[in-house]
Amino acid sequence: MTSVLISETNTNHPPESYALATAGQLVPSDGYNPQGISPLRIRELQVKVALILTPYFASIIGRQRQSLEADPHDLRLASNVVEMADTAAGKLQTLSRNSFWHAVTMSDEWLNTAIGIIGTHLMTAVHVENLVHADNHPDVPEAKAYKTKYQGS
Amino acid sequence: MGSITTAMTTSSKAEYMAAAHCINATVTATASSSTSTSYTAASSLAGIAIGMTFSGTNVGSGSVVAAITSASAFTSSVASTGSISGGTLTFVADPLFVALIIPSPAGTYGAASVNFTDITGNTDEVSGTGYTTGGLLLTNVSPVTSGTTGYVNFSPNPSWTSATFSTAGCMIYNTVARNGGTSGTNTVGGGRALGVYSFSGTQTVSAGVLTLIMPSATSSTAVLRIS
Repeated sequence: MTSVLISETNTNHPPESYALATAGQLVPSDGYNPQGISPLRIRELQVKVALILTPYFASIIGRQRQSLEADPHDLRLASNVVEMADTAAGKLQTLSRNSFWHAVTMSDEWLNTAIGIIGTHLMTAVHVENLVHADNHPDVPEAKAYKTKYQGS
Repeated sequence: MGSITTAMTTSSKAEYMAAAHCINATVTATASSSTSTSYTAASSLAGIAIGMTFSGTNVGSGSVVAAITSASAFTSSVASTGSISGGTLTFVADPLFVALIIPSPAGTYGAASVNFTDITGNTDEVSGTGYTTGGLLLTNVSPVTSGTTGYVNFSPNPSWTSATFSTAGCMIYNTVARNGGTSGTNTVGGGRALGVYSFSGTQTVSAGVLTLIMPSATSSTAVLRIS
């Protein structure tokens, strides 16, 4: 596993944590680096990427939380993850202009991979929100079923 | 003392060739049947493989795809219990689980691991609040290729809530018994190990949430890949 996120209270991970984990996969520090970019510059880029991604995680967690508050029985996805991931990846392409990262991000392959990575983490943020909701609403059958499906109890 | 080394298990590579694992995503399709094992007029059979379980209104309990007879027809292991006319069917591949390993395990886990029982036999599985024995069900995503590599990840990432325990690694394993066993402790029955992953240190959660961030889904980093 690349990393483990831990929250010290039984609440969802903060948006910044998801964003940093995602940035670490989009700009891997131990990955293909033909230009010999320094670790410091890679780290700086990861932070910039995380700053761009953080609002998307905040948004999707916030929307899911609002949706669950409005209807505790409905644990369906309250946002369009693919659309959000696509928009975020486009923002990252814009960020990369005039940087060493530009040559990488302009390929269709990178775009598709980036959308997949961002999408998986956005889905995870929603999934954790649903699990926490289930913990807080053990009397809601749909929430209990969701927790049982994914956690076994 | 044992250890945890990140690796796909060697035994699983032979097992893929022996059709011992099915890691397709869940697929929905429509089809028709009339109180028989024959299903016709399927909207699509893409992503559906022999051995996948399926369910739907009037689908017999425990139905498994037994044969794919055309691009739009298949037979089931169990007859439908009533008329199905363009009914929605949900096809599910093997349920894969991720189980957590304790810090400083007694056993050695890595490429040579073959079965989930390797962990339980050494009493190396995590126990604690919020952790259910056997671990968590993963959500399968369809395998894809890039270049000369086939790979798959799972989405969303697995997460334990209201959790209190420590862990240093995990094993992904298949709960379904698709063949009679191939090697080592990997005999008849489910539990065959697909991969072992180290967390590079002890991870401790106390009345909180622990989420595993799987490697990105690329041909060089995905959690399961064959090149």
